[in-house]
Amino acid sequence: MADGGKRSPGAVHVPSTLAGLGALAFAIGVLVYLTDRDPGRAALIPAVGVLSGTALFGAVGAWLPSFTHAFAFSLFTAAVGHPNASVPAYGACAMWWALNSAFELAQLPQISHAIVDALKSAPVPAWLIAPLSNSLMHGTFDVADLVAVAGGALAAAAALHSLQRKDCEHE
Amino acid sequence: MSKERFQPSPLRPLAHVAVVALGVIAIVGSGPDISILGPPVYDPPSDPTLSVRVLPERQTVQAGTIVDFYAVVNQAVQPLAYQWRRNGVDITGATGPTYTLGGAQLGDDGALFEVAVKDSLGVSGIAGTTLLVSPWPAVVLQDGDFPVSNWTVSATAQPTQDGPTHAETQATDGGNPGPYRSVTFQLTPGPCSLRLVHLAVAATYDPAAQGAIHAMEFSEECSRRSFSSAATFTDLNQAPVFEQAGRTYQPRNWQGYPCQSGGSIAWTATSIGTVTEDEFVFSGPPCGASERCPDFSASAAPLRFGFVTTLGLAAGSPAGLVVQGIDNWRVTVWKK
Repeated sequence: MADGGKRSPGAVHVPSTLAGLGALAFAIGVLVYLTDRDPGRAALIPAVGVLSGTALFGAVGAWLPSFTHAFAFSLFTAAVGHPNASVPAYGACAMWWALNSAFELAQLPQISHAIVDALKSAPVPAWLIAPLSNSLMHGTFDVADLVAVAGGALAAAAALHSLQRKDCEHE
Repeated sequence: MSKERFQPSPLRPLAHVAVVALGVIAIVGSGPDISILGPPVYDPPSDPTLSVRVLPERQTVQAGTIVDFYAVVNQAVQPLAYQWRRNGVDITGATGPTYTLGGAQLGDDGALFEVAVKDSLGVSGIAGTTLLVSPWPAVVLQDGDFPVSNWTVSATAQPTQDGPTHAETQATDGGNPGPYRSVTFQLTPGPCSLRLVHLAVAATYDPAAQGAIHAMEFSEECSRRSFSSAATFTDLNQAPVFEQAGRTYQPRNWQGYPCQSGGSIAWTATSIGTVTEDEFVFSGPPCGASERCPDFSASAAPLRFGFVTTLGLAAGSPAGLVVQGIDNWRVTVWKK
């Protein structure tokens, strides 16, 4: 079902469904930071006292945000994509897999130091260099995150495939 | 998805850019908050003048080792002119951003290697680093598996009666990688504190038998596996140490509490290179007028290496439980 079209009964509105699924996944990722990580440690996520330290997700919380980020933003990107594409927006999944994987690999010390040194001598504004450099230098590379990112992108691709089939069945 | 009904929207490319931007912000924003971690890795320059530094900042090598120095220059207008110097004297032909010392000699021990940089506007800067050279290979003491029998622990608790308690185990999995040493702090309601000095049974160095010490290097990885978020922690310290003649020494410039919690930032590697005799702080009996604290000479008392962890709770804080992990602990001793 494309933007603005009349839907047959039982049809799914693909962009809305994608955005909704993405928002749900994104919220779960944020919840991990609120419940399983040090209060206020993430730069843009405030501490919520009642949730902090509850360790709601246990061991899964170690890699779940990587999964949900790749999943959610693949769906967000697909949701704002070309609505009459004949195939689902698998490119969005590939893009977010690549971007997340690149950020994870960039936390390897031998890579992060080189990037930070390069950023310092590049014509990039300081307000952009500082958070990026600190994110790379203080982050720790984790193979589990790479696997989670790939899983998130694949899950998003599966969701796109499934939704497109449902949509087509109602055309 | 029907093609006939597609209405192209001029806002669609903008929405694409917005989603990508938000995604990148989410990645960076989920990273550590530098205000919690202490001094930022990158300090935005407030002064537009050229700045230069030499990497590696401090190092000790065995004689004969090829040493590469790098000049890192900021706030400069290309092209740049470089001149490397050894103890203030220009090195012939060393005019690039890197300088390779083709086999460090004992005569290079303590030498200051500097680079003077001038940019196209005529702005100049200079920076340097001191190289230490040992005639001997490094003595490396390390533990990556942490059997409980490899370590001893001495505790100092406040209050002493019904105060904090501790327990140490070898966690068989979840380290970086494999086993790690798990240390559990059971802290009583504040104020309280618990200082644990862990010493490796076999990690000893006897200057009388093995020779005087030139410098040391330390590295370890630390992780806070779990903690009570309601507690208010104080006196946080986690550092490599050595014990000599009843005193416990730790590098003065060690980052105070590098342990992080949770997820992809669970293990934090911290290291410090080339720490010399005068760069330690100690706890224990006061240093006598005729004593060297520490003493790296060939007549010095034996050293035993390990690490220390201190945790405390502020007055009024509820009781707290903290589980810390230590992995990839390593000490390098360079002999004179």
